[in-house]
Amino acid sequence: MSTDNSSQPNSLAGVAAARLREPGSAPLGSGLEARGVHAWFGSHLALANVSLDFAAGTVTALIGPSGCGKSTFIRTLNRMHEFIPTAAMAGEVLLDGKDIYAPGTDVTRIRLQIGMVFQKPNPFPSMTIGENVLAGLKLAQIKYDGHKDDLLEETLSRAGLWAEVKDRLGAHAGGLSGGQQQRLCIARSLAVNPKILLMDEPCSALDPGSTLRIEDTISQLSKTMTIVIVTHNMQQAARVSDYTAFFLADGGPGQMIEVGPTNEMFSRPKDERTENYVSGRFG
Amino acid sequence: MSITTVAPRKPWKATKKDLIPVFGALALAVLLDYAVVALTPMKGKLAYALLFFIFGAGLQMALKWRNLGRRAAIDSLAASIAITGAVLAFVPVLSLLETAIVRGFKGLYPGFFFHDMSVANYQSPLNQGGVIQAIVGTLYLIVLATLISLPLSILTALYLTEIRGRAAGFIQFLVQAMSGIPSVVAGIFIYSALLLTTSLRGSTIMAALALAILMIPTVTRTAQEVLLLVPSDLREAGVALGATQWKTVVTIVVPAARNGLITAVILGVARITGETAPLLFTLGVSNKINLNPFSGGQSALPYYVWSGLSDGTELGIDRAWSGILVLLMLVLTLFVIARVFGTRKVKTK
Repeated sequence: MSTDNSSQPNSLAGVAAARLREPGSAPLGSGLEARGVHAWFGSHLALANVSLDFAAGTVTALIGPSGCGKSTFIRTLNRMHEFIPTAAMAGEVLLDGKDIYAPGTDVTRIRLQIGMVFQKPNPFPSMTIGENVLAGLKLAQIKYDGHKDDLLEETLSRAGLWAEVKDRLGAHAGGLSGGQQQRLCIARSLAVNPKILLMDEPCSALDPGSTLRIEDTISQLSKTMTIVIVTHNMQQAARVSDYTAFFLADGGPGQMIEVGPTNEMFSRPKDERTENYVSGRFG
Repeated sequence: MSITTVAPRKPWKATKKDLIPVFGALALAVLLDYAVVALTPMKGKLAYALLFFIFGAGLQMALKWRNLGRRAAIDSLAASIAITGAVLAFVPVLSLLETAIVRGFKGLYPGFFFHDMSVANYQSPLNQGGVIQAIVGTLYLIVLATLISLPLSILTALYLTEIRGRAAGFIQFLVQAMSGIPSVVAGIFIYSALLLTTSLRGSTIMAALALAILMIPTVTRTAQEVLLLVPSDLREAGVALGATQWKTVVTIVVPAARNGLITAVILGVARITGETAPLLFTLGVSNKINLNPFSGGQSALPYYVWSGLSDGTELGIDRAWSGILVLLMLVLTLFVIARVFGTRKVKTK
């Protein structure tokens, strides 16, 4: 798939241009702003000085070869980076203008507003499909005023899974296929109604059919929230994103080389390294 | 062109025809075994077993070598050694079980489960008296020791695996040191710390405290291993949904480790149920049912066994064996209940 497309970067740009939002459409959700983000694992600097704006209601794709710090970066955006015992960071991440790393910040509230979908589907094995979707409410101790069945249907529909599981909400989540599990995890993230959704290679373990479904889901979601997606699939970046940021490690720490509207990144990137990467000459 | 013309087969399984030479070789090994024992000075069960192993393994090896070559012969030798090892491991267990059943059966009569020892002593005929007071006592001890040690153990394991606080290294060291405590020391500790220095007397709760000292390290270490098996993906997923660490642990990590935690408790109960030494210092004595765990002496099955053995008479020793058999049955029943109860909930939920 990638060889076919990467030889024709212009077609990627075409795909990207086709989905570009008309200017002037109202921004939705919340914006996120990374300023001078550095990240360390122990004494190893994995990511240096990344500044990137995610405007409200946009989809931003992070691309780049393996080990360039994309996943590390996305994990700094909802404070999952600190989950690794040796981790350290520098810089600021502003959510609605407030630094999420500021002293006294309630980290659980941050993660409630900035949801995350992981590379590997990770439904909770001790829970049923329905319980998995509503797990966020239970975990974050949110009182939900409406009818829980409605929320189930709504979030599962938004994740494109409702039709497949509506008759077996009481079954264990482990019985679903990989693609269904990933959409279940998306539904689980949506149920707590985050303003921003971070997706770390959500389709890397999925077949093309499930991938397309999830991309549809992303397009639907982008109407109401801000999405950041890490992907190795440049076609996917072209299909789903408004903006694309290119990361590269090049022997040293990972850095952001270039960011721009997706169609421009694929048609006329400013940096030669971006050009080489998106045209498939390396990476 | 019917689909059903193809019958399912298992080509990887040995056929009956394949097994004929295998059993033939074994039969030959038995014959050789008898012949050698009859014709040489080697005598006894050990000679039979050793020669059977040598002939059996040798013949199988020769057979494999002829049909399949050197690698198959070595494979056959390794298999023979493994099977012998398994048999060697099972022999003592089965022998113990057999002895307990055969010798214990002698003293059993229906009333053994309903009478206590206030109506008889250890020299009474075997159809008098029983172990109901000891069964009640042992159940009390198991329940109380579990109630005391389970929360402590699980919370300690959670501290060590989930929180990994500053004291984790020291606590890990303590848990390891505790698991090496001889059981009699636990009894002496409770005796000297609580019974000698205060007006408290030996009772169920005192013995349960001593047993809890032994149970805590076992349950903690098993629970720790089990919690480490829960993938960190699940913890991350929970935290990424805006949960606190505590909520993630309670709602996701512990339910995911549920079966393993039940195993941890079973191992802990197995560790303490047969303990006798700590009881000698802490239990007091009773030959009747005592339903109050906080005062008065209590009985227990291991204590009953110990008393019967130290009585020294033939009837006393018969009683002791019956006590051992009852203890085995009780433990087996408890474990089956724990397993059934523990797994069913996971399935039907």
